[in-house]
Amino acid sequence: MGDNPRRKELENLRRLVSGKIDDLKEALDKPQTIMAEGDAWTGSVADVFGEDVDYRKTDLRTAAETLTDDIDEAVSAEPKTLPDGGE
Amino acid sequence: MGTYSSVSVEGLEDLVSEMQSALMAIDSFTGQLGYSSIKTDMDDLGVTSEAIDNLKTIQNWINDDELPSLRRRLNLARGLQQQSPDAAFVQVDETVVDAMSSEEAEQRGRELAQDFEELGGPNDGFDDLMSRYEELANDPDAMSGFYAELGPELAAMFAASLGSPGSPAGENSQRYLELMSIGLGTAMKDETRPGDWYVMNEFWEETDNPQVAWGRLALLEYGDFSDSQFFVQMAVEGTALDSFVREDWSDPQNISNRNLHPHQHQMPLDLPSNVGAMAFRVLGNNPEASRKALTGYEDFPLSDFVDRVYEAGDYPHDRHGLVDSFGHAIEAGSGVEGDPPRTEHSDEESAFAFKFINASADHDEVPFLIKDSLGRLAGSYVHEMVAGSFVDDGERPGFRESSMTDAPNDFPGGTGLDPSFYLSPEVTYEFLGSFQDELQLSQPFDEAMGTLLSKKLDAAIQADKSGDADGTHAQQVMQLFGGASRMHYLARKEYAADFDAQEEARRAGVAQFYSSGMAIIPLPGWKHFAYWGFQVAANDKLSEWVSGGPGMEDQVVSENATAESMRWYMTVQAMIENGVGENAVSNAPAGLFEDGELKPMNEIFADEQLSEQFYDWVNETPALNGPSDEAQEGWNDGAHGVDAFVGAMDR
Repeated sequence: MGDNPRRKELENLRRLVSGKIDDLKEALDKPQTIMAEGDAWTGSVADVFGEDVDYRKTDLRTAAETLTDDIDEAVSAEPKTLPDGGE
Repeated sequence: MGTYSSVSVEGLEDLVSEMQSALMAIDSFTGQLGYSSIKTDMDDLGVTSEAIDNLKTIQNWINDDELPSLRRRLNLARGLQQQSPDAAFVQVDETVVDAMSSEEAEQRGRELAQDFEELGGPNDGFDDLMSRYEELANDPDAMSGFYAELGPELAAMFAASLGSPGSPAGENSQRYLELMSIGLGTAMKDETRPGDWYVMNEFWEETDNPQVAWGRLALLEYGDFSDSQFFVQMAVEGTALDSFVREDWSDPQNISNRNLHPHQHQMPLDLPSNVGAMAFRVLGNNPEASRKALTGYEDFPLSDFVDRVYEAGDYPHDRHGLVDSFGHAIEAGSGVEGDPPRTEHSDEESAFAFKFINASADHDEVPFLIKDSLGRLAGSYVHEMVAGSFVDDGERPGFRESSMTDAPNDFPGGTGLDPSFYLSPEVTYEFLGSFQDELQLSQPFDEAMGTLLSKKLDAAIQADKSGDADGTHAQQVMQLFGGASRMHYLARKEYAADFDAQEEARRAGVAQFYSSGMAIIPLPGWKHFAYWGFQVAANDKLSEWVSGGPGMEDQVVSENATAESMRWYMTVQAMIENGVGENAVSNAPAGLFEDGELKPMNEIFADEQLSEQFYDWVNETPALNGPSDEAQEGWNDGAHGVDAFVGAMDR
């Protein structure tokens, strides 16, 4: 039995994603805060934009979680080791 | 009716910046902008996720739908802010945001520039073009397109044509030039200037064409370049100062010595004809550019600028406009602004003022046209002027240099004075003397002294009253101001064009102040009278000191009042107003107080009996007697120290 190199690469990918995923999830947090505080831009057009930011922020978090799950799944689906002589 | 948004430029800048960051964070997963990404790694490994498509949708929403209109809105807000610089929010018309994208606005600016080019100058048809220009003058997208298309030389030549006698634009010349300058300032506010904008950096390069040089500087005259100080600095240096610092500065061919037109009074604009004067004038509106340009030449420090400008202002050069403009540049760099000028400054402003004051004080002869700026500078740096007048016991001239950091030995710490530097007494004396020709030139300083003395004396009396430290705050304040007042008096005596005439005017002021019964309550336009009241140097009877002044016939000045007694009264009154000896007020002789207020000094001193009662009452009130005597001693000590010091100076 030997290590499965693809599994290793998938684990590396997972580590990479894990290091960046919080930045992705929080990418629209500051715009949302700015709009919520109302110190930058107010008015009916701003209100629509503020609501859009709220929706997009939720979508962003969902996408980030889906991505994490999909990569976890890909890692899990890959055996840790391969029979000797296997690739 | 349009739909309006309230926009804070700063707030929207943050929002745009955060949206840009969000875009990049998402792109590090999707790779849509062409950089390496998680998606690339996933593709390599054959991993798929519908999340990537969802992320692309959000990214496209930011990049394609929101950022362009946010940037457009920000640009329009910046243009509007130019018209209302102090407003926290500006009102942006959303129909304008919708009506024209940044690209469309830029294109309109470019088309207008092409029409300018075709016309070739402010000729027939220019009014129509300027009417179109005015519509776009506060639109950064349009203006950056306009100037990038028109180019630096043609832009400058249009400005120069408007400034020349016989300008076809006639009486509109001034307004059109202002608009062109405002538009250039607007262009500088464009969040994303077009790629060919860099041609405008030709403003930074030397030119031997006086029309181009003058036109460039005129275009920097009226717009708001507060966010573009580097551009202004480089343009002023490249166009004029690089030549002004050269040895051949007075050569008629040196560009800084050239004029747009030989007869300034024939120009249709209220601007100097001289390129050097225009350069300093631009710096007068641009504080940071002024500091950096005037202190940035390695081999030509600010003191060299002072030497050269003062020489240029003298015979045979007689470049008075240059001197006047230089004064404005110094004021701007030093943070001298407002009326009265503000007395708090940034570190950069203080460091610049320190260098200038020391350099200017090195000159016995100072050109007249900078003296109004010197008076305002002294008013703005009144803390530093008072601190610089301090003389330690036994200190002799030449003992110390001016210092940005080190207070002189035994400098009193309990006065609440907050100087950002410490001038030597010699420099303070020379600098104060340099604007004493006429009382009017010194008025900003005299007013600032009146305000500061009143404020610091009040605070010191309060501190003493609360038992803080050893109860010598008022004495320390009086010592400092006694010294500063004496320093000012002696400098005036030495340098006033007509000292006797000035004294007469001051007599009239003090008599008026005295007769009006005012205390050291700073009222607009009166602050300097209180200072003068304190400053009266002669210890004659006030009636004698005042007599002989013009218009004195109707002024009643008591025979019983001396300068010393007037100062003493004002100090005691300040103490009473601050609640010192309040328990004794109920025991005061009848007639000394009216409605709880001490009677005005003219009334007290006019009545011999009341005057004596006042003196006795204060002497019998320990809370007032000791401190008021000590305050007087402090004043006299400060004044005598300065007398001895200045007397020993080698002038």
